[in-house]
Amino acid sequence: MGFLRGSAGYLRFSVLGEPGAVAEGFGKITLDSATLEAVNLRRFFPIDPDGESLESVGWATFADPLDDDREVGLDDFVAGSLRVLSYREDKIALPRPLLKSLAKKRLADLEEQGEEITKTTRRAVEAAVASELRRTTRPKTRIVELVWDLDRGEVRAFGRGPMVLERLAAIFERTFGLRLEPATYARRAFEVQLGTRERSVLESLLPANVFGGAQ
Amino acid sequence: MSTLDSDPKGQRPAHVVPVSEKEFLGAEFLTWLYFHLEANGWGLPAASGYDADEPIRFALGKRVALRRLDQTGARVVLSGSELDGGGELLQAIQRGALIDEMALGVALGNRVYSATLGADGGLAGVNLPDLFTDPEESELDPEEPTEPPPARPQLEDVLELRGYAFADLEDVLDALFVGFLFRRLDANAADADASAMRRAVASGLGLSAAAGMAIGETAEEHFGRVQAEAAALLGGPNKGLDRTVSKLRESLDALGPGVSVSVSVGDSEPQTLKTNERGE
Repeated sequence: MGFLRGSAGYLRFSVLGEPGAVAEGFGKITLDSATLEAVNLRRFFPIDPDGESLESVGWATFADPLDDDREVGLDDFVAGSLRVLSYREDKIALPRPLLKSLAKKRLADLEEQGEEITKTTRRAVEAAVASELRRTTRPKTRIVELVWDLDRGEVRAFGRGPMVLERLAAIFERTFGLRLEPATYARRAFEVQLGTRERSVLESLLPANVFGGAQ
Repeated sequence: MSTLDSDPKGQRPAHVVPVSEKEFLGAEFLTWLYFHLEANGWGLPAASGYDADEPIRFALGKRVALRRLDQTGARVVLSGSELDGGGELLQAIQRGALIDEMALGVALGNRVYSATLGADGGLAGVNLPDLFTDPEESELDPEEPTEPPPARPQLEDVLELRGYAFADLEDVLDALFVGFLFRRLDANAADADASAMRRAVASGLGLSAAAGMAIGETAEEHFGRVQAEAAALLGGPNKGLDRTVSKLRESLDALGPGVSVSVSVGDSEPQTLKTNERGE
């Protein structure tokens, strides 16, 4: 459930800076292809089952973020004045109690076979067990739909959770060279065209104390 | 922009104010919005400066969360129908809590939206109007032969239409926020709004500010005080007065706000027992 269908929950972000920071004239379809290269450089790749990494993050297509083999194409990315992407992160969480239990059993077997259990052996056994568990544990996938409205200079991120949104803002900055800041009411207040006197009042504004308990 | 949250080099000029110091504006806005809509019968005319061709109707949804902005951060979540004007909501506000989340229905003509507004600027549970059914088509005579259903909309059409709908809702909320902000930055308007909120809370809790009820005073305490002050005026207890005050208590409950309490003894001039500190 998100931008495309059903009930949606999202946070708005202000895009700070000019899109041209990455590719001059960004926003014109002819130059979006240059930006797409930057997107595909940070495309999502699934976790390598034989590797050591426990997580993977990156961009995926907006319409089909679970298709691991698909590059983000121009048609996936550009929709009028909107630029759309999915941020995907996969994480494998190894169950610690199971990991400890299996490692303990393996060490006991080795001890029975007459092997000396040193710190190095213990670490090697734990790594081997973790690697086996890693191959059999399914990663947990999180997807945040991202809709960048060039006309409004805003991004809508359809997903909640401060950590995932922080990581999304970080990859957005690395990809496009533009900062994302949550468009809280406080930020929006400073983005409203105010006169000098009003801005000065805003800068010194303190919480109201209408009923005597809000300070 | 002169206001930044982060200052990696630690070289923020003295006059720059971090945005994070003003985060209270979110909860203040939602609280103001509640009273603003309540005062306007949950409707705003098109002529009031909003970028819309038709009047905007609002309805409070089934969830309101309130939070104190002090260090305790105490939070209460109210859910259910008819929360507007409800005692729990107003009591929480009277005790210094502000609205942290508010479910709201917004109708722009036949386009009906619902969402839960967060004080952090986020929106949750956003439901958009049905964008893919032509209202005229839905009114067709069921007896008449109909054309086959239209093809499933293309992704780009969905993006465009839903993008428009999200922006439609955001425009209304943004315009309301700007309206709030300008009033908040104007000392007179902010005082008037705060005063109107106090009156609305007193009135909503069944208490008459005009009758001299102090903020935080219970009805029982108030009428006990009225009785004692009246007795003092008369120079001692009086059974007739007790009965009168008892009836007055019932009458005030029925009459609501705007009632002043006066007592006259014999042919003497009526004396107001109490007015509140603001003379309201």
